[in-house]
Formats: sequence, C-alpha cells, structure tokens
Amino acid sequence: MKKLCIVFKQAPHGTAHGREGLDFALLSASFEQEVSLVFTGEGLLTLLKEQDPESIGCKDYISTLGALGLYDIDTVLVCQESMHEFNLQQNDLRIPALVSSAEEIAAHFDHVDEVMVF
Amino acid sequence: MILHLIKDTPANSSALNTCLRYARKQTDCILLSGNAVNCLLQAEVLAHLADYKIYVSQEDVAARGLTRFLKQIEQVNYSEFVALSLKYDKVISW
Repeated sequence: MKKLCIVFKQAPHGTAHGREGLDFALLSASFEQEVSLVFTGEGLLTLLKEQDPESIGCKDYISTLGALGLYDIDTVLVCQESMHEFNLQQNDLRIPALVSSAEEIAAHFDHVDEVMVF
Repeated sequence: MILHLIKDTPANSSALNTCLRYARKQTDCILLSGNAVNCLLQAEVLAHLADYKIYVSQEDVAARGLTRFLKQIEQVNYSEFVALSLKYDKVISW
C-alpha cells in the first residue's frame, strides 16, 4: 500500500488536468492506496461552490469531489498562501479542507511515498 | 531530500513558482530541463533561485545554444540525472 499525494496546481475546466487528477485519485483510492490531495495556486478554484461547468460545455467532474469520503480520501490540504492570493475564505470551499502553510505541505510531501502533480 | 523536476518555462507554466513555494533550500534540489532552462538567462529568476541547489539538463542547454550563457550552473547529462534521481528520496515532476 502506497501513500500517494496528488497536487492540483492548474485551474479546473478548459483543460483536462483537473479531471485527470481527480480520476487518478479516486482510482488509486479504490485500489486501497492511501490518497491525499493538495490544492495550490489556481488549482484551489476546483474547490469553489456553485460551479456549473456543463453550461460552458465542460464535464462536471467537480461534483465527484463530494464522493471523496466514500473513497476514504480524508486528507485534503489547501495552500494558505494561495487562499490569501485569491482572496478566498474557508467557507468558499465546497468540501472540508485543512488550510496549511507551505511548510506543512512540504512536510506532507516528505511523509508520503509519491507525489503526482496535475 | 526531494528532487524537483521543472520541464516548462515559467512564462508558460506555474511549475517553477509552485515548486519554489515548497522546495526546501537546504535538503532539496531543482533540475531544470526542456524549455525551463531558458528562464535561467533572466537575472530576476536567478535571484529567486540563488539559495537553491540548481541543476540543468546538459543536452537541453546545448541543444538551445545556451551553454556559454549558463556556464555558472551545474550541468548534468542524462545518466547523471538518473543517478541524481536515485540519490534523492523522491522525485516530484512539477
């Protein structure tokens, strides 16, 4: 069993990175890997509420974020600096997430076996 | 002890800037390959990278005719890159 950390650094929609990252996370979790997620930079915007990607012809993979608990993905870290940069508050996020400093996220990277960036 | 891989120039990608947020100056190192080597020409970027351990891909630098511009930065060829990736606990491709 591997500890996998998946980092989302790119904005959702427009490109497939976000969807691929989330698919990878859910698939790995369904194979009993210990999966944790980190959202940083524009990747943070993936967690915003009230998104409607289908209205612009993009697949709505955002709603699958609600299923993270089902897949035992409990560790969701969000970059504090990015939250500040994009002027977001905790309650803007659609799922519970731990707002973490860069140092805490760096320590998390040391702790896990593999880090994949999308 | 993490080796951070940057393959695209900051002009096109947030890879380098995101990496710098989490890379640790004392223990980690950053290897720039592909178009990422171009940004080392910029004094501003060099200043940002001053206290990090930086490597560049020798092949990518030579292919772009940048060898004489980037003399001051340690260049590694492909096999040295593989050795480097084994020396560190983990590799993150940003």
